[in-house]
Amino acid sequence: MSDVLEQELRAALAEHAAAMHADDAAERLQRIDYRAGSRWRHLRITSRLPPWPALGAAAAALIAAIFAFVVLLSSGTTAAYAGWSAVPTTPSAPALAAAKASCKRVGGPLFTRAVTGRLVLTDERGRYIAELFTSGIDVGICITNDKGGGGSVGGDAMVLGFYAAPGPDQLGLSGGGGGSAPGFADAGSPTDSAGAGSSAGVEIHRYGRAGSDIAAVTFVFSDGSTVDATVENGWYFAWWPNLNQPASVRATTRSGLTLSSQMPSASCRPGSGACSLFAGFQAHPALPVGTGTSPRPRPGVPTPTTPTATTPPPTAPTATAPASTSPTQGRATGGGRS
Amino acid sequence: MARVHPDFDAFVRDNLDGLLRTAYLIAWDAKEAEDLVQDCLFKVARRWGRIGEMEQPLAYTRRVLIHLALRQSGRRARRRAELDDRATDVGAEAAGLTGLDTREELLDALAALPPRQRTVIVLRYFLDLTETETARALGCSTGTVKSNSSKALAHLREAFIPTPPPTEVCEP
Repeated sequence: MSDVLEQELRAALAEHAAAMHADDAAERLQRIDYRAGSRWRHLRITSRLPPWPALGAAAAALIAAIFAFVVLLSSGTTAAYAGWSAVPTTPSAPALAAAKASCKRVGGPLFTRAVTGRLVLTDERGRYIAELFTSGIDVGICITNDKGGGGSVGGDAMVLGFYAAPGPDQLGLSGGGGGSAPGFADAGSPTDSAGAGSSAGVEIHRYGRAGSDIAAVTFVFSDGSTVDATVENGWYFAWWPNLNQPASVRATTRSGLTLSSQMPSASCRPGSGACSLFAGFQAHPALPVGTGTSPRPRPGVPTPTTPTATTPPPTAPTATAPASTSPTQGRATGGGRS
Repeated sequence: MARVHPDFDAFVRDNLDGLLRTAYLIAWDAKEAEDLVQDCLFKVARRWGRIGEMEQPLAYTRRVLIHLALRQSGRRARRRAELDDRATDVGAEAAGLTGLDTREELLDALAALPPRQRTVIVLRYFLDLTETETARALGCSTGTVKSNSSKALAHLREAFIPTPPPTEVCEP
């Protein structure tokens, strides 16, 4: 019996392993810069991107190098993201200065390169402050906590051409990725880092250009929970302390109109039917919101219309921003920034 | 791929497929496997000067990969308690089921195993490592390997009891 089971087990494992499409993954992994000392790591963007060959020569002209990195400072506790909030606030000047100093100390040259440009957005969530910098074609992101000690830098270089300015009521679902909190980034041998500190957390962030008429952006998850983004200077940014991918994004215009769009699948590849939104990013840098599904109708809340980018509504409906809840904390909040 | 070291590049080229499939079987998820291997290679690249000199750099790399996979599974388990509950339920159901003798059902039972037990099974029956090698790869004792292997096989055996031939019942 055992022999039969073991034989069957070997066959089943071999069959299942063979079913994995490892070639694409291997190709992506072989393109990565693994140079020792490189700290462009820990963003999982590479495995979510369309394959390079899919970018045509014409598109290449539009391609810009965008560098994103995340600096996460260790709290040294298990609750690496304790105090995170689904609704952003505006950081105080001293807190912002401290965050910037922490980013500079931890990020070193990487940070310096990314922040030679303009600070376009600050996003405070509880004890965490995120900053988004743009420098021509570069985007830099730094997330710090209020402890300001220790930490690591992660990131990948990415090359995209997504950053054309969107129309007034458009939203560019441009960038995003995930990062790993410190405490394990520089783990040593497989044994000496086992469970050490267990301070590792994870995060997903999303950012992009927001049209001039966009006042608020909210990511909606499959369980109905939401995370409000910060919207400033024509950019939006949000992050959350887990690896959940949002199901849709909702934008509210300054006139109160709510627009929504499904998020592209994390595994989308250009050209496949189910991933037309993602493929659309290639040809149309600014994604018109409203091409996806509408938010779920709620009792007492009129269903908002979803106009196309080319035909903005002449009048704005009075859709009330639905309650927002954290996917991890269950907080009820209003949309926008407090 | 940027040059870490010619030997490293060759090492990656020669072993990437195996590492990916091993990670896939341990994580039971293709995307996670890719991320795990990526993380693993970053770590190995940083110490390639030392690892490249080892007698078995692949064995060390597997240790890194397994360590990352198990740590990641623990992290995911905390975040996605509902999935663990489901896995437990499936395991419990599997333990109570008999007559499941298809490959698919065996794979389902494998997927439902706790990550550490599945890792032991993958190392023993996919990579054909000995108990000692498995223990070394996991950074634990051979006793722990035997224990995990025994528990895993017990679950899988429950899912693999061949269906007995139907018994005719003669009514008087």
